[in-house]
Amino acid sequence: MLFKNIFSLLIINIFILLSACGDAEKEANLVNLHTAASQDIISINFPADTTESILSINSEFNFKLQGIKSNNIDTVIITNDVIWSLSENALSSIDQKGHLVASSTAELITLTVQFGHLTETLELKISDAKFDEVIALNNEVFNIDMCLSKDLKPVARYIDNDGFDEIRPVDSNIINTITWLIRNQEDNSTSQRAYINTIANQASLQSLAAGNIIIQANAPSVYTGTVKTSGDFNQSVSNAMNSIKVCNSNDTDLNSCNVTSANIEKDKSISVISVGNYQASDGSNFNKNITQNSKWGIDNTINASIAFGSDLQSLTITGKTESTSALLSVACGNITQSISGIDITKGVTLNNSVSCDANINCLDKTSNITIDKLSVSSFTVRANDIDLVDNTSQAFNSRPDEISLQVIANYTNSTSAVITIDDELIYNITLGDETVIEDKLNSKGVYTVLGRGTAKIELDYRTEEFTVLLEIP
Amino acid sequence: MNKLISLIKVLFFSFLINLYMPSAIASEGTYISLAPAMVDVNTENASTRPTLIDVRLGYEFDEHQLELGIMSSLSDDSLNQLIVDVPSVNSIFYRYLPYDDTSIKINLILGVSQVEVESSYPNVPVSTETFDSVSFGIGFEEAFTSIPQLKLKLDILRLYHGDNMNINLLSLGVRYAF
Repeated sequence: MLFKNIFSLLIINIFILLSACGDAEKEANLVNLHTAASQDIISINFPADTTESILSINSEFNFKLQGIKSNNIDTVIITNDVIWSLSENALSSIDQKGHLVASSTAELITLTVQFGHLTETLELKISDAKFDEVIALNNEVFNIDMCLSKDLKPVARYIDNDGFDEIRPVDSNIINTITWLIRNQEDNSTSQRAYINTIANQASLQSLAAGNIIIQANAPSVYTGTVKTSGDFNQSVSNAMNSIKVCNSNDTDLNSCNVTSANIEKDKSISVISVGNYQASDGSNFNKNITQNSKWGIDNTINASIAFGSDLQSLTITGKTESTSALLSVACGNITQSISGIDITKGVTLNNSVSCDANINCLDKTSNITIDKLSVSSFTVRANDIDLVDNTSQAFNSRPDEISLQVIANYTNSTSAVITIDDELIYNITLGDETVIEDKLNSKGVYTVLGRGTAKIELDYRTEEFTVLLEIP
Repeated sequence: MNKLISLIKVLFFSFLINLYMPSAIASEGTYISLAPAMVDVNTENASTRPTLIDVRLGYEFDEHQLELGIMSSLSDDSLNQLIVDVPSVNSIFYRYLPYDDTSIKINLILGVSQVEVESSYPNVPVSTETFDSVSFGIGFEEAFTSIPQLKLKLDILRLYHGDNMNINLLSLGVRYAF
């Protein structure tokens, strides 16, 4: 017994000692290879179009890491299992999502990123050069079609302490101080063809109609302390759109979806999007959700209303008057109706139909909306103030002279209404008619008791049914 | 670590010497087992599962078993372009049978293992690492009614318990007690 205990103790001690031993250094190679292999990545780099090597002090920047797949063709932005770090003693900081917060003083640092066994570095200059003005709308020339969006990388001149220019993309602080001015080229009038919005430090050009525009950036120059307006940036919005249609917002196949008519119950909503079909520069066609940059209209706001979703990526239609209809219309381009008083940055909705202006640089579509009656989720039924359960027998203690039913409809929008004498409610005695009970003349839902037995009354309202079962003593 | 492995080896050989000592216990004797096995090289992000041939030589007395495990590669496994193989596993196991009165015998297994893992990946030189660790697990065994010396056995083992990686073994085969 003593040997057994000593032996057990020895084994347990060995187990505890050995189980604490792991060799992380030896494991590193295999662990790293599994990490890279799990995403089939054989090399990594910083993608040129989303990487900056000079950043302003106190600015923020989101770095991205691109992986090249083992076929040496496909690339993917790697977001998981990436280790981001900056050189030792760096005053700037970076989190494990690649979000860099630049220091408040100038410095030269090295950004290192590791994914599995792969490592990439980037020399970064955190610059205290001061922003002067925007000198280009984007870092490269681009084309945009009407009703599409294009992320911009405006380029600015920064001036360092020695008076030298630093030409680089506008930093995260300055981008939010820019007011964008857009005019029509032909008459210099304020343009409703496009606007630029900036969300999460990303400026984006939103085009609503084809035509030539002039864009200017108005921003305070940190270098001079005055507000500076940039030169004119000429931009054309082209029309390579083939068609427009309405789809449900949850449609994933934009090629085959199409909503030409829809039914909505009163007080209920459906969510739709507009889809534009475009011809790409290589001749192929593609579909795009263009809800945000489309112009929407509803011909009868008493019957139904429309409103953009919070992200402008869908349109909500709400039924207001039951048993009616409304015509939903959507257009991309120059419409007949005026939108001069509308803030186009919040989306264009009109309380009347929208239609194309002589079909020049414009496409439109309509969809019939039928507003149905509210459906019923359940009934609350009482017989002489006794609550009844559907298709469950209810016995009376004594024979009443009359039975009065009270019927309450509980609607799917969580409201209720007494419908006892509603024309849509149909009563039908299916058992005990003229022997146990009979209809009371001119009193809907009221029955005269004739004798002992079981009475069964079927209730039918808007396709919902309820069976009343009564035991008369 | 190596000293501890040496200590266990000494203990094991002490038991091997006892193999040839006469004993009055009925269940005493040597045995051999043979099984195909699957190794699971398991990291946080992914795992690979090469296969092995698992050969064990052992000695049993009462509810105790001591065995030497020698395993060699049967096939490698790949994850996209990563190819992982386990060329060899050498182990010493102590097995304890806490319940002897059931038809399916349950074994608690404790020992040490040396696992060799070979890996290759594009743009990376082929590398081989050897992992030494305590091993532990559980085994199940049932004798064939027609040949009581022959038993069907299943072992589920953690061969290597590391900081960021584990190596597990699933082995299903037969054991023959002489």
